[in-house]
Amino acid sequence: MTNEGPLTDPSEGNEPETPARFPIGPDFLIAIGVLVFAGAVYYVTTTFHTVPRALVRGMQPAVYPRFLVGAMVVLALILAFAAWRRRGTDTWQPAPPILTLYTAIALVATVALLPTLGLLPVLVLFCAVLPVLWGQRNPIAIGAFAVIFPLIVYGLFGGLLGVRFPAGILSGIL
Amino acid sequence: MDNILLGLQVMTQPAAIIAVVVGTLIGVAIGSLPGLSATMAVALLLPFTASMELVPAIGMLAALYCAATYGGSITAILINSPGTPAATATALDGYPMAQKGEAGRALGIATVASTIGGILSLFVLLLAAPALAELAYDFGPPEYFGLALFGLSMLSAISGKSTVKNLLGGVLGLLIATVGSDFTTGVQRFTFGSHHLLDGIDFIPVMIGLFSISELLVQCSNAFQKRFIIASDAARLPSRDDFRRVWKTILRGTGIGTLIGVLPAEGGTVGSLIAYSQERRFSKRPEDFGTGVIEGVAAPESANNAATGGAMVPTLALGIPGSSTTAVMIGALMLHGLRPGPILFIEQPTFLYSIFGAMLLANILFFGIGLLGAKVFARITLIPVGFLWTSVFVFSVVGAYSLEQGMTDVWIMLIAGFLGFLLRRWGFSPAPIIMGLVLGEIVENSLKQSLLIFGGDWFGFFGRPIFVLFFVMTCLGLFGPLIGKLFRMGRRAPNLEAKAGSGSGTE
Repeated sequence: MTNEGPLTDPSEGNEPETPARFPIGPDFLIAIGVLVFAGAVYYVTTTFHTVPRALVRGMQPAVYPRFLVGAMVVLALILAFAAWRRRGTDTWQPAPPILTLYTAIALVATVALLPTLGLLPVLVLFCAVLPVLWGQRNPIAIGAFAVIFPLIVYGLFGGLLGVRFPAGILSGIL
Repeated sequence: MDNILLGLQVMTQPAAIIAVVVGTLIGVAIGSLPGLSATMAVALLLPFTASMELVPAIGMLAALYCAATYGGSITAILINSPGTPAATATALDGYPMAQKGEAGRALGIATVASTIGGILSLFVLLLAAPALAELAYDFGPPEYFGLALFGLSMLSAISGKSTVKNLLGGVLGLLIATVGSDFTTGVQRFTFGSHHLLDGIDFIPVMIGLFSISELLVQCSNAFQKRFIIASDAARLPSRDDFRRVWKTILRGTGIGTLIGVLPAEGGTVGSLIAYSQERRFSKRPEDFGTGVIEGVAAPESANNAATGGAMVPTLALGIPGSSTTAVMIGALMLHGLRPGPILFIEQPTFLYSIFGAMLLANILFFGIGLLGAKVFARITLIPVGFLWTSVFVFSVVGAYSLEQGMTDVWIMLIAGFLGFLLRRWGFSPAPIIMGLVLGEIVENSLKQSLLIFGGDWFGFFGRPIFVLFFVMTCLGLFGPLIGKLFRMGRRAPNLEAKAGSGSGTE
């Protein structure tokens, strides 16, 4: 025996809460970002010097980058169109953990301090700090790693391969 | 033949052998560490090889490439965490085998399949690369432009992510390659008055940043993760019965891996997934796949290692990278003053055979290492991630600094790393950017030279049959999937009409 009656949604009137539908997904925003970037690049190409026609070899210096800008615009429009068609279904990535920010700050600080403090002190400092940030709690392991590893790297590159690193505060010793 | 013997003879020098042994050991170790890829390892080791002789330097990197591809299988089998993306398919049956107490058997199958796949693909490299180079020797700028366009069109398949984003990444790489003085006119482009940028942006720090620093930031999400290894017996050689079951699988996987490796795309990963799915499709018991069958380990492992030899064919013969790792290898060759392509075969005829020898030796070495030391290498994954990623950053900084012994490259590396992290969060893959950066010079130079030849007439390209061939292949590569979709829709429409027609007839 089959049900010949009209098809009805059994959950009608008691609809589960649907996830929030975003009118635009992340790809749409990325496409807009790419278009803005392409516009900025195009503007920069207008500041390039032009060369006299007799000296042009193939094309003016600005032409090729402008082709690339054109390709970027076309691809960004395709991305935007595709994102618009599937609007409401795109998901947003969760924010990265706060550790990412701390790590990024540690990386920038290391590179910024390198010329002033010198490679070896900076590496020792970095090798002591980052493992702690990443959850290491064994002081002996951290201490041994922070001293031995930078010394090996310094010896390998500075001693064996002859790379001259900034000595910084140890310039009188190294 | 003389060149083959000479090339292999070069590889018998102690320095070259040591370099290959070191490259293989580092490769297996890095390959077994989830998060550290062969590409990243080659990029990190690149500055270190700058002061070495050519053959040991490239031999070390080539050995690392082969060994890291194999090393990925160890952790795929023992901890269900593929060390490299190319070992993703291996985990599907390797880990269930390990859970059933057959880890040693799975490791043995993976080792044998990887070795056979790797070695057979090297013979393809030996035969195909010189033939391809000879063919390409008559290429002029228009043909090179067509070839580079084709290589760029293959970027759409370089990673499993969005095709459009892959292409956007490639264009971004091409754009970064234009920074500096224009090579024909000397006009400065995108230098913003900085003398540091006059010579352009060196792609080695960009590579290190995109692959290492961005991965370090991504790994912050896994900083407190603990890994556990399944207890394993020693890896052992497959029994006669096992070998009888998988030898055809290995040959099929090798064929697929080599073929896909030759195409300028992410050969190993795609090749291993295709080999796995093909094996499953043609299996008499496809339902067993995923439960721990040896064919499910042999197929992807033979394919991903075969892809290493395949990927070297366009890299060496044409200068078009066959994978993201070989894109970095092109950087290594350029660092040593070589330009991969047909001319390389004339100027350095023995060089190809030295690379062949290095990769052959690496395959033999990781066969031994895999059987004897897989358990030891698996324990590397227990190194706390805090120490591991700190070391990666230290090597990145020191490597980038060593290139020019200045801070500019270090800052470029760091900026590229942050940019790479953001781009990865937005669904972009770093590999197309690097490919674009590597191919940038060839694309612009060959385009400008072609226009000079044609007197500025763009239609001149279409008078060159080889360019037309590449152009058609490029169009098919870019629009093929769309054409296929339209074709399928077109075929479905009459069927639907027919069904509707027959349906209405019965009503």
